Amino acid sequence: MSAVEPTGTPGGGGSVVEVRTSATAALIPTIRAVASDLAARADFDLDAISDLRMAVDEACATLVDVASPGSALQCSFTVHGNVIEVEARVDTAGPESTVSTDTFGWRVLQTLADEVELRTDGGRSVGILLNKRADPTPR
Amino acid sequence: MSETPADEGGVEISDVVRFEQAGDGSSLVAHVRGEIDTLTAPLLRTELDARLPAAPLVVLDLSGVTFLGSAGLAVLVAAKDQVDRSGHSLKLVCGSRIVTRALQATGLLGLFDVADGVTEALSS
Repeated sequence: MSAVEPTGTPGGGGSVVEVRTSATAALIPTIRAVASDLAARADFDLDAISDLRMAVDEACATLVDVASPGSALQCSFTVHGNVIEVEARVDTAGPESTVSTDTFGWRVLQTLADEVELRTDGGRSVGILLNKRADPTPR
Repeated sequence: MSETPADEGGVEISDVVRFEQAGDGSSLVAHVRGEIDTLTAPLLRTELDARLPAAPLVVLDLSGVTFLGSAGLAVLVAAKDQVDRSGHSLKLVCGSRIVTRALQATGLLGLFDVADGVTEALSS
């Protein structure tokens, strides 16, 4: 059982699903579908499912834009009770491949997820970590 | 042939939007369908850019939309800007919770004139 490496909070006991695709926009619908399915199974309400699906789409679309050619998009979903944590990551060509957080898309991401964090790794890769609770956040 | 099977490869514009003239021809109804994301939004944008200027009233019927991402939302905002600049009007028919939620969660819902259905949008 060592094939799946838990990427969530250590000791959190959440179940983990990892999806790895080519870093292309054409495969993002598949990742969105996984996000929706996990949220529905974790008893998220319809609005929270919709929010998570949009947030995951946004994170993946943002990363695909900066991925180095031919690289993979790696998404890990960890379900901790009523919270789903998602980490999406791509390899990048160098430090100049950065994600701008001054965009409409990033604002959308911040609005839809409960927490969002950009993680860079010295120009080798860029990741977006987000989490979403099952119950709707009052707006 | 009522439906073309969706294949996994290229997206056809007819899979994304279908236009219809309404009233005395002065109104344009755009029936948008499917998933509007970074893949399909540019197609929709191009079609709307070409068709919007000629119509004093544009109805965007989103009832066939199954996903609306930020790229799709940006197309809606751009269409609204374009219509406003030419003194025309644009109405949205959201049609589903998916679309309403996407607009509401991003704070964009208030920007649009929303109607319950295409008939209502054309008659009000």
